[in-house]
Amino acid sequence: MDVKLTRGLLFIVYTLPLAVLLMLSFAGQWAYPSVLPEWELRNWASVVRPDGLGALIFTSVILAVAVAVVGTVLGFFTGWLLLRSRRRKLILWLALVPFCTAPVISAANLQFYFAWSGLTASFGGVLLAQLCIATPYSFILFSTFWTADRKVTDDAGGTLGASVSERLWRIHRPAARPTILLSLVQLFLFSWFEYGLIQLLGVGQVRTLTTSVLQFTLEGNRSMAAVACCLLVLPPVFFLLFTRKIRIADGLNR
Amino acid sequence: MRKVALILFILLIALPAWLGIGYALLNGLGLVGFKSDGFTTDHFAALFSTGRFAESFGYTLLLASGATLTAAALAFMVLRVLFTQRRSVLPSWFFLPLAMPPIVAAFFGFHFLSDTGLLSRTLASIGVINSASDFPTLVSDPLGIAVFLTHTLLSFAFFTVLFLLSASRRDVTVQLDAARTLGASAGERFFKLFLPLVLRRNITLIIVWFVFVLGTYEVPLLLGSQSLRPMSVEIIDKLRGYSLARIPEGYALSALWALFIAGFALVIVQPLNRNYGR
Repeated sequence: MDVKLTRGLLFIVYTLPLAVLLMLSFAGQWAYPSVLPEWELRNWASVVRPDGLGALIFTSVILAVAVAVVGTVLGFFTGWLLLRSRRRKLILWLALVPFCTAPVISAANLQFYFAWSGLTASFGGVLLAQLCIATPYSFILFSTFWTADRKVTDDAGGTLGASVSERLWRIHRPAARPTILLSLVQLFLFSWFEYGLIQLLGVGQVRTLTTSVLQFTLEGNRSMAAVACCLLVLPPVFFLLFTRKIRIADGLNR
Repeated sequence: MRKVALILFILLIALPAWLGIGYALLNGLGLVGFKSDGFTTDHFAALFSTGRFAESFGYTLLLASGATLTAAALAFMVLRVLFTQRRSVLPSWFFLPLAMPPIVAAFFGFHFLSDTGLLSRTLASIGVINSASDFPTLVSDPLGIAVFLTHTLLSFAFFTVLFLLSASRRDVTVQLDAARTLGASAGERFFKLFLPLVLRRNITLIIVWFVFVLGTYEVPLLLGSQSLRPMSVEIIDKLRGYSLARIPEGYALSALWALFIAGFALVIVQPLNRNYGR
């Protein structure tokens, strides 16, 4: 098959979902079998209404930023344990278990403890529960940073008299910059995209953009669900457009 | 300092998952929980005697492996055409589907594939079908076709980017150039060099992706059938259903599934540990 044809087909397949979401978010009446709906701007106005989607954006952003920052700091710090561990495989496996288990299943299993400590239906509870998955995730991302080469550097720093905290902050942190950035982005997206855990432990009290998508869908409010979908997708998309093109050579051929 | 790191590791990384599995096991064995009347294996036995476990387990494995393999095969078909393209940058639209969370993908799938969805409307407007009832049922159908298609699309987008990224790595391009100089045809270069190289390099991420699909929840929740459900949906349904008697059964299922995933994680440890070097 032709290169141009393949790229054209890919372009259609990749941009179609976003185009459909945008169309639905501006849709009013949409009788079968018309392909295009009647247009309406009303749905988007709810973003700025005080009781509208604006509050949910705020909750989603705060939650995702908190998970990304705290999870990355903890992942970087606990990952440092790998440097001198003789049980590296065991430690990695312990971190992989929560990472591989679906968040909604982890939430179901932990629900009892959260209810017992009064953390269900609270923002703090959801944050803590997400961190129980995000920290292992960050830990695994940093496992590719805390390697044998790092140990040599760490030893050299120690020999020259740097304390542990100095080594972590002044020697390893600058070198870990790409992994730190990667972890921040990945953890933000994990929390931003997450639905099952928030729904189960938030018990309808903690509402984010993801939970509102299903809620609007169940209420039969297609257009508002589409607006919520657009709000979920647009930040990562803007990030992509803002950076224009992803330089893959830089990222991988280090 | 090391002690602080160790305590944080235990409290936030190692312990929670196992505390959860422990509780689910105890509840499933009738030792804790609202309806506990002492030790019993009835709840576990009920899972196997009704056949629901085998059904749900089999379906989850089939869905995840089907979507992963189909998507990987499709991605390689695209790569077969594009692998000779030497670009150090990928256009940003390549990453668009990766900005889509499963719940949004499910929402899109619903409004694209349902009886009155966009696909049905398009076919009706060009005269292929006469009414919505002529359109084959893809959403909430017994086989979960929409669930499969949505996951295949998400996986395909991820694999294409993943494989294209490896395609422009220097060590790959050098080998491809060498093969070309030695007279290998495009087909030979692709099947005998590129395909094995890229597969071997990305096999861990493919397995990790497969594990993610195993845990699928939002997509089958919106698009799946009532009868055939993957594990996550089945477990949450038992736990949050109206029948309190089914809760221990739900926990028993959750414990078994979490243990299966923990076992599966062992497969990923080995390649992950290889990064350590020396």
